[in-house]
Amino acid sequence: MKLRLLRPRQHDLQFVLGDLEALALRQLWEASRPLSVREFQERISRTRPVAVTTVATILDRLHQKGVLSRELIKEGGPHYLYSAKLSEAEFKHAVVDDVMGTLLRSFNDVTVTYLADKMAGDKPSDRRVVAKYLKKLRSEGSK
Amino acid sequence: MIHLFPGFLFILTLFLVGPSRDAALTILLIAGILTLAIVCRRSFQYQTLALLGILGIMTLQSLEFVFAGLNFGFFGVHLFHDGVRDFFSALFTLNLGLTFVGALTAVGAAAYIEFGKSRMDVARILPQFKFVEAPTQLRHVVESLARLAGIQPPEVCLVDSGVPSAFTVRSNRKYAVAVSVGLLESLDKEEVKACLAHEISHLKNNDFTWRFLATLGKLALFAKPLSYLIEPAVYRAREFLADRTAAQLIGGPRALISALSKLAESQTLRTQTFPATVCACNFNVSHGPFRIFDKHPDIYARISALKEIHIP
Repeated sequence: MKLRLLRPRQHDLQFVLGDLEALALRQLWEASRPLSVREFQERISRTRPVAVTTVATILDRLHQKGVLSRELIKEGGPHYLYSAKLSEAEFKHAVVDDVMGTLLRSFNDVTVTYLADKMAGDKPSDRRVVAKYLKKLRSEGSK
Repeated sequence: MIHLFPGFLFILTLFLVGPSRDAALTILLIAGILTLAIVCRRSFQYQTLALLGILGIMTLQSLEFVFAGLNFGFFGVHLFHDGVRDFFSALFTLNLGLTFVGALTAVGAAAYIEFGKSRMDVARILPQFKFVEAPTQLRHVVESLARLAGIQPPEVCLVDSGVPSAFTVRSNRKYAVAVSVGLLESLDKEEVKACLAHEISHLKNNDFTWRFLATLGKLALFAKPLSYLIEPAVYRAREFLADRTAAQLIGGPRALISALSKLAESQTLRTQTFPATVCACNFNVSHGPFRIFDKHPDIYARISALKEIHIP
């Protein structure tokens, strides 16, 4: 999958996909079966008006990014059936994996301490548990 | 938009006064340098870079005249040493030589097209696309349109791409009309037929010959400012004509208007670049004055031109 962190300030899928791309991908997860361009357009139109040509272009783009796979159907005029390569959970995992991987590679120490701090939370008892666990990890590592 | 102004002034002056006059030359040089200064401050994008290149050549061309003046001297006073004069003489000869090479290449290409083997292999011409077999129905539509236009029916191929597009390619004396799967998916039968009629019209109007002549003109005017404007202008004019002919072929502009309107909706989204061949639905997304370098006219201009057509 060739994804780029498009807009770091955006939320959810729009973090890595365009607005329409995210909308299209969601339709596919909701339908849980391959969809044609017409079907996509019908479903997206319920939320916002969109032309079929636009949907076709968006889907081709998602295909090129490796997010979708497609099958060319000859019957009833040539058309594609698009399906998602990853489920919603798998997709989000891939994005997080990509982002965290980059952070760990670039700012390893800061990222690790930040994560430990986040996991420890605000409660002193929790922080003690994490500290104990980290100590255990460290002693295992030095063995 | 302000950064485009000096470049525009630059081109306009070239048109109005011609490059060889002193006053024009001064304005041109100032405008050129101003543009370079302004453009350089902005982030480099593809189009600005292209403009920069063209302006660079234009500036060089103008400089040529300045140095020509200096070279031959003012009031009998020669400003340059012999070595410098020789250098500029060599530069002019090089320019002349390049023009000559350009013309030779064009003649060679013409000979190859006319006398070479004619075979059509779209996969070889456009290796960036995957082609699949076109449905019989599509072939029938193209054949009937070709008959109507009174030309040899071209080959038909289907491009394995979801982006709606249709275009015509030429290999020597053979032609092929290609449509993408995306076009068939997103337009209805009448609209697809209208797009095909547009492509057939390009063949009927001999637009490949016109394009060739335009390119020949561009080469003949090698690096002269006008050469960057004539070729795209010819392309655009032929595009409007193809629309008109298509409307006549299918008995009215309605279907083509609706096809173009639908395609206009997705034009700003384009990622994949389709070949700059004669193409119904390929858009360049240039804006404002950059349009004069575009080979395809604005789609909305095409739609309004079609609306004025009255088919008896």
